[in-house]
Amino acid sequence: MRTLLIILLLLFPLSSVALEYHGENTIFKDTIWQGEVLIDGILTIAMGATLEIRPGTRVSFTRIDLNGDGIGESELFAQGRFIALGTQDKPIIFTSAEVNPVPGDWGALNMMVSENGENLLEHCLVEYGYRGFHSHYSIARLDSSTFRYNQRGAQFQESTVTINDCDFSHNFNGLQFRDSKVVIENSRVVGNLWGIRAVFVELQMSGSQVEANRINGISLRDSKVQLRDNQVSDNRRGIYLQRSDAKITGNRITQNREHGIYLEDSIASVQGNLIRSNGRSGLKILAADAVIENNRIENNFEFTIYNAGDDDLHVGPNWYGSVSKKPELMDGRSREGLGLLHVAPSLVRKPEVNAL
Amino acid sequence: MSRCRQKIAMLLTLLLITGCALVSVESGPVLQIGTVQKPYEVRGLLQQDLYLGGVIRITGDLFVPAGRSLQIAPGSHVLVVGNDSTKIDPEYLDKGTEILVKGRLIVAGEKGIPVKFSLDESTPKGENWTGIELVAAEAAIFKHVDILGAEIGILSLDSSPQLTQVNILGARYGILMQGGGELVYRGGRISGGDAGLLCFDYSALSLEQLSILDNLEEGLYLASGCSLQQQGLQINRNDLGAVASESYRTSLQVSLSDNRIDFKPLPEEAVQ
Repeated sequence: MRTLLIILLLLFPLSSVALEYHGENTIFKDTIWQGEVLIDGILTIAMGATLEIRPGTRVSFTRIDLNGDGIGESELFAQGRFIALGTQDKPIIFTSAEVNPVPGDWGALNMMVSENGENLLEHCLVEYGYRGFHSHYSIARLDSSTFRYNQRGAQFQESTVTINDCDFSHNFNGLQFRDSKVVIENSRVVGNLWGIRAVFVELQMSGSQVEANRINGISLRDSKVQLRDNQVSDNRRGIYLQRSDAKITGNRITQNREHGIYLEDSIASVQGNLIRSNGRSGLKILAADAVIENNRIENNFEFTIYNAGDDDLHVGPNWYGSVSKKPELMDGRSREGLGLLHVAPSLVRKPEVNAL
Repeated sequence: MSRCRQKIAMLLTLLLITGCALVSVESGPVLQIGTVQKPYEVRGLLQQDLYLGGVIRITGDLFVPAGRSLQIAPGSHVLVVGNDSTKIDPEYLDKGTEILVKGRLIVAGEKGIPVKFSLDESTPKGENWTGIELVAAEAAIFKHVDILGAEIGILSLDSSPQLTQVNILGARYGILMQGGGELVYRGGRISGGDAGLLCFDYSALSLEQLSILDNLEEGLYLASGCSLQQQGLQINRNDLGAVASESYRTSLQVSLSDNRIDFKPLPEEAVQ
């Protein structure tokens, strides 16, 4: 029995006392953390090894900034597998070791070429990093976790990432990714400078809130996107798509300071949304091919629909506040050189919107 | 005798104070001058305070972090190399080339020798540069400056830029004020862009002898939380002259002419 215990401990070193890593270190074999862990440098999980972090563990990173670029260099670098499964009562915390922490105190939870099995974060709190969670050529799943006070909440490149029931709040940028396949469900991206910002991605997002981000709520370029049943409110621009292919269905896009939806050089289907009380126009369309129908487009402060391109655009039946209410249009009738908007008569009944 | 001592003591104190003051004066960064043949090239994180003059070429995103300063001398020409990269680096706000300031930016042109910001001719066709972005900047002072062809001439987030004789020409947005902070703008024009001056959240505008002309969309947009003090403001030949709460209609009346729609009131809902 004793021998078995020793073998188990050798195979799965378990630390329940404060564990400290100083300088550059590598974990070569499967390891379990529990309790307090301090990372004062760069810790690599080698390819083939798994780091498992138990509920209630607190991982702190010291601030090291040798090159003076304002970005902390202590970080965790997983080339093997990374599993951090906290619980609701005992979340796992990744934070700064500084007394007065600031965003960027430490580098990131990096997943690099870690494609042998999903990297998992569940019930984690990740704060004060440069990139809270960072994934490159990796597969990851983020569940029920909070990413706050980071320069970027999470960032992915060439990765496949699923995010469910997570909060990205008060980061400089909430979520950024490129060349990745990303699914976001039932999550909240709130109070960042940028909410979601991505290029060359496939994104499916549903049941989520993107609110009070000060630049754009959702900003995508050269991407394929499905947005369904989300709340996109109180950002500067709500949804901004450039050179993208989008299905925007059943969302509430309200009270954004500028445009609710801004489509530029994109192909989009915009159906069954509530687009209301946005500060400039409900929809601004620049050189986009869009199907716009069965939406409630109401009370936007400047224009209901703005055709900023030079091609004519046909708009299907929508609800503009009442059967008799005409949409306020900006097109070639108001400014020479712009295309015309050909708008179908209003729906006779207010359509339902599903979001949240 | 005691009076004499007092005077000597006062003199000594004065000397000490003066001496201390002299000692405490820090020498600023040395002026570095670029030329047409050999522009001063700069990009990335500003590692030290810089004082630049002549021809300055910004070859990539430039970041002035908190605690550092960038000063630009009169008559300088700042050429920004625009790009359309796929980068999404965290500190920066836009894909294009931008000047992001959290520290201090002093652009000190003078009458007859302004500082000019424009796109470098090596920029790929169809691209522009993002503009000057102030994010809780410690100071942002612009005197006698021309800013040409930016996406957003000046974006101010929680900052208080001071502009004197500044022309912002051909920008998609001339100035965008967000968050708190106060814009003090004395003399100059915002012209030839999409939108002139947009104010959101609870920023304050103090505008004097400013012209907002010939923009394709709004001249001035004042969201309900913004406040405006103005003197000699001219808003002409824009699509929508001013978009603001009804309460501004009277005070802006003399400023507005020849716009497609001079004044468009924000709906009651927006004001509430």
